Amino acid sequence: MKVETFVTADETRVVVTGDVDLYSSPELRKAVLAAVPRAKGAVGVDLGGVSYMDSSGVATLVEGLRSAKEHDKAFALVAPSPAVLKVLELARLDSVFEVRPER
Amino acid sequence: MKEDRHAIEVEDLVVAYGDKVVLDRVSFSVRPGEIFVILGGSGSGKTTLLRTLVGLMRPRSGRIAIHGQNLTAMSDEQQMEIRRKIGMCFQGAALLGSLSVADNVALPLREHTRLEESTIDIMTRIKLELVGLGGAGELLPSELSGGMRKRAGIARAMAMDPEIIFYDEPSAGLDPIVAAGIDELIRNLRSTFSLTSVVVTHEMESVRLIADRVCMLHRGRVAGIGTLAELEGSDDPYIRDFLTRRPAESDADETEWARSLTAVD
Repeated sequence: MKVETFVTADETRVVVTGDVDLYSSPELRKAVLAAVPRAKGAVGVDLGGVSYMDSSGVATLVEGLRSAKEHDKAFALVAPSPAVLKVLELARLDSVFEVRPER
Repeated sequence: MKEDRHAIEVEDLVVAYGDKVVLDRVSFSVRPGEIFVILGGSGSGKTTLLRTLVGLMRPRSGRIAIHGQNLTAMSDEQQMEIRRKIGMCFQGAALLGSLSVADNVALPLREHTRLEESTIDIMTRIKLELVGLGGAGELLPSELSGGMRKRAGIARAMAMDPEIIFYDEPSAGLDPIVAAGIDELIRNLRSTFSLTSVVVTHEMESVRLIADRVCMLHRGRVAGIGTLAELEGSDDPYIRDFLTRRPAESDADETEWARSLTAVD
């Protein structure tokens, strides 16, 4: 898994690629929870390049959403791959997140 | 994820307790995403087979491969890597009585990962919701009904997001309605997660509800493998007797029995 953070004036974008699983999700958590309080505008997590995500990835996204609410920031999942959409649906959390289909 | 032709392959497996051979050259394969039932009477070797598949027992000889990787040729450390992708649901649920249901489910994550507690907490709640125990996380196992305990055991088996799950007599000891609920959960988990499921049971009602294919064991050997319909059409008298619940005729030699009883040293 690879995680990169890009900061612009109106959005902080965390871009994730590869497999998000029990062993890699702590790195995503670290990146997301660091990005939220620092963001000047909204936070977007780009999940278009995620090939696999397990429930630890879902839990990490829930933690990001919670943190964004605490900091009064908008939080969205950007272009989630079919693998991500499937696992969110399975966890019945697909309606909890703002999802932006386009990058 | 890599697509394998077989999730599990077992070849010529021999397992023995001392001199007593309990499994004798057992071979079968399990396809990804199927519910494969291991069926057999008491003493058929089905529980030993399950214990061997999950690594609780070592075979005397033979091969067990998970997603093409030969477990029997691996060190314990290498096996551990593969086994992280396996969930085991024990017959009595094997919950720790002093821990809450949520802590029982969280236990494998705390033991085997470096995830933060806040992540584990959310994952645990997802798994409990999945098995219909959304509001029961704070309860102790002793406060659960038999069916709820089975569900909690399944949630714990699902904790690490396994690709393969093994169930040991999942509906044993439950009334028919609760048992049917567990069978439905097993089917739902399979269809939702494409979860390869191996179920050891002797409950024919469950077999009818869940099995894609059945491996019938008799005295440590494979008596037959196929769909239930195929086994029901089998010429094997033991398979037919078992599936129709007909008592087996004693194969003991009556003359020998009478002789042993009346023999004088």
